Amino acid sequence: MEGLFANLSLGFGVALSVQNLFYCLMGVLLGTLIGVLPGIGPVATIAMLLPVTFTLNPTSALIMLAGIYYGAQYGGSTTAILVNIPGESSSVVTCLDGYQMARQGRAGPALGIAAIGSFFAGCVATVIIALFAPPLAEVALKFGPAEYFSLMVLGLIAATVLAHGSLIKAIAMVILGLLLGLVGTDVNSGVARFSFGVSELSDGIGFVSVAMGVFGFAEIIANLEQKEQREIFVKKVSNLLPSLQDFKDTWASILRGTAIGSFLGILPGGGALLASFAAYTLEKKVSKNSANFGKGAIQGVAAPESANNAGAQTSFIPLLTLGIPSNPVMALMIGAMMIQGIAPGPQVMTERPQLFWGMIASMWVGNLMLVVLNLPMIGMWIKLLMVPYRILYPSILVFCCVGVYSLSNSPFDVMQTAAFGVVGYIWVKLECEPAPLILGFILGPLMEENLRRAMLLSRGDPLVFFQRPISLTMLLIAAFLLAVVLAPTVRKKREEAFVEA
Amino acid sequence: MKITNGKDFWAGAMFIAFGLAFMIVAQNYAMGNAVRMGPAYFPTVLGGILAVLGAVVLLRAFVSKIEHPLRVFPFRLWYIPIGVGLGVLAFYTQPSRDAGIALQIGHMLVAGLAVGLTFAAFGERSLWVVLLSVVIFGYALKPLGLVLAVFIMTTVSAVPGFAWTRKDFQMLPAYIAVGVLLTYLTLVVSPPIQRLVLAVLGAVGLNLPPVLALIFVEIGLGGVLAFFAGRYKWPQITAAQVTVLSFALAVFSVASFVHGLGLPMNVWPSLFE
Repeated sequence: MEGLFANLSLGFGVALSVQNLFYCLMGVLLGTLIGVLPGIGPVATIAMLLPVTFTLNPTSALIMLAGIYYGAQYGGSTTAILVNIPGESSSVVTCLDGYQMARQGRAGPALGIAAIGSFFAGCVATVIIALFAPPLAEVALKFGPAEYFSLMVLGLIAATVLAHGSLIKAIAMVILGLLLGLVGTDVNSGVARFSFGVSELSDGIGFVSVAMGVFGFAEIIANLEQKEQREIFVKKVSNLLPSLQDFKDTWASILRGTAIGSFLGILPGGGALLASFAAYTLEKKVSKNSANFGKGAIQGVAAPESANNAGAQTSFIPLLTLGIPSNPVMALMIGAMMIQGIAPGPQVMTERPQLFWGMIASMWVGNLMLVVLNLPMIGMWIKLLMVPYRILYPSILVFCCVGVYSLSNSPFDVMQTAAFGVVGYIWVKLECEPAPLILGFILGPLMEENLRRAMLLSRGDPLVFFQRPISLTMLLIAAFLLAVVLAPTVRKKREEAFVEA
Repeated sequence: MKITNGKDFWAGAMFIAFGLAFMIVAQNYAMGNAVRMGPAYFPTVLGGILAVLGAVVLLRAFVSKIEHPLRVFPFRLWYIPIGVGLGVLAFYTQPSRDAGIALQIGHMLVAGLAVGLTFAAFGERSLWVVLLSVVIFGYALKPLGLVLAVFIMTTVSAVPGFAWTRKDFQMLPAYIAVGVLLTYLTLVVSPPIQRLVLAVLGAVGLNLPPVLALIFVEIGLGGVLAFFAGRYKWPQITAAQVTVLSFALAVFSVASFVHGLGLPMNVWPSLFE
């Protein structure tokens, strides 16, 4: 316990320096901005900003990028409540009751309770990270290549199980991602694989290009196909503070949302999106008057908003302790760490305590900033919402292109991104989820490396993965997850859960 | 047997194609054995699994209860041979670095048309127009400079967002003048302001890289735009206004971005130097 306080005070020392406070503010401000604006998500934004982080020190860079992710969860709720469009995919369920509340003239309390719930969840999640990350990292330090390989298998399987849509397509996308990740020079033999003599490809496909093409361009194109309908119901929001009755109604929902969000965030494949869906479903089950849901029940805003913020933050746990990304945003964070020359994994905590604890402390600071940003400045965000998408997207495109171009100052990266834009669009049309692909893409080389080492150590005996207890456990969990999802009753439920929300 | 789920059919075909392609290409590398895996080992195994999964998805398309038409995209296949043909032509007629301007621009047009046609084969306007603008940007940045490249890109990519009307075209020259003025402001007037902001921040003890001056400028501009947006009711705005506003916004932000990062991008055309 004393160690914890010492660590946290070290963290706050780092996070409260003028420099890092500033980057934290920038991160959450940008996060809120893209959260409010529909049509651009945290993945594309983080990919866009990666070139900027080259020039920063690693701690500041990660603090800023983390701020974008959890900031987007706050911003997303504003759009959901006022316009009935999810600003962020994780605020889809907030639309259901939030918009109804706005129609009833209770937009203020809805926004207020969303922010307060998120803040509470953020605080709890920060403590959870501080408590759980160190022991987990200690366990992870004992991992050998066999354990790492099994862990990655588990992580990828879990990511596909929790993704929506067809399971088999999700698994195929993971494998395609792994294969794409293998493009480039093989570390062991020095052979440039799948590069077709193109010198730019011998360093591998740039993951910024993949992320930006698939999540940035493809999304813009898909958005353009839909007719824009944006009706802002409330021009002026007054009376942001929820009443005492509202607090009485929602404190339990906030607690439940936080708990479920924190738990789902830690799981590989989890994160903000799943957390908000699950919290809403639970809330509807638990509530005494569940008929109210969808008609402006304040619990239906409080629970998912708390859950998505908690989930966004606890999904940093697998990243910081195991070096395994649980969703595409975390995959980009791994990329950012690698660019800075930090190998993600359990050693980050012992070798760079400043970075580790500074980032955790900055999350709490960032949450505080977000409450301040969101409640009094709500008017500004509403104004921003009135700028139509057709004005915004050319600017977003330009920013994406400059970001990609500046990676190596060559048109090649831009072309590569455009190519992934086409492929990403095709995937959208064919209902192939791209999120598992990104995870596979990041993990591809790591997975091959660990497989090779494990097989070398075991002299080619594949049973090694089943003989080591930790490795066996993880593979069993992965098999169990697959079996559960494939079981007919669960499969039906899973489909319903995603359809309903 | 009838294909009920067109989406699954194409997805399955795609996975099989990718899997087989990776397997076949991997045969050029050393296979090794399970103890010492060569560079071909992992891709071959994964490619095989992918092809099998693809086959399952493909077969599912015949028994699926979910119905999707087979024409998922508005395919215009005859565009592809023309596009590929032009692409091959462009590839083999690459002008040398010291070739004349006209030749370079002509070559760029051919290459752009090739890429555009290939994209257009897959359908909706938003897809190929947006991506074409991206490709043009990538190629035009070096010879034409940032300002012109951004201008072309925003103009081209703004097309799917609205319908061009005659009135818009009549207004265009005036708006371009505004755009040029804004560009001038950004590139000539803004850097000293940015330096000032940085100096003031430095005096307070915030030693930040210049990127941040740009973020300030950005947010300030966003605020101003949002203010006017609220005042003048965007939805009634004309198409040309949209183009110029996005152009202005883009040039303003990108120029400060480049300045802030110190990126070695030429701002003005290098063709004419």
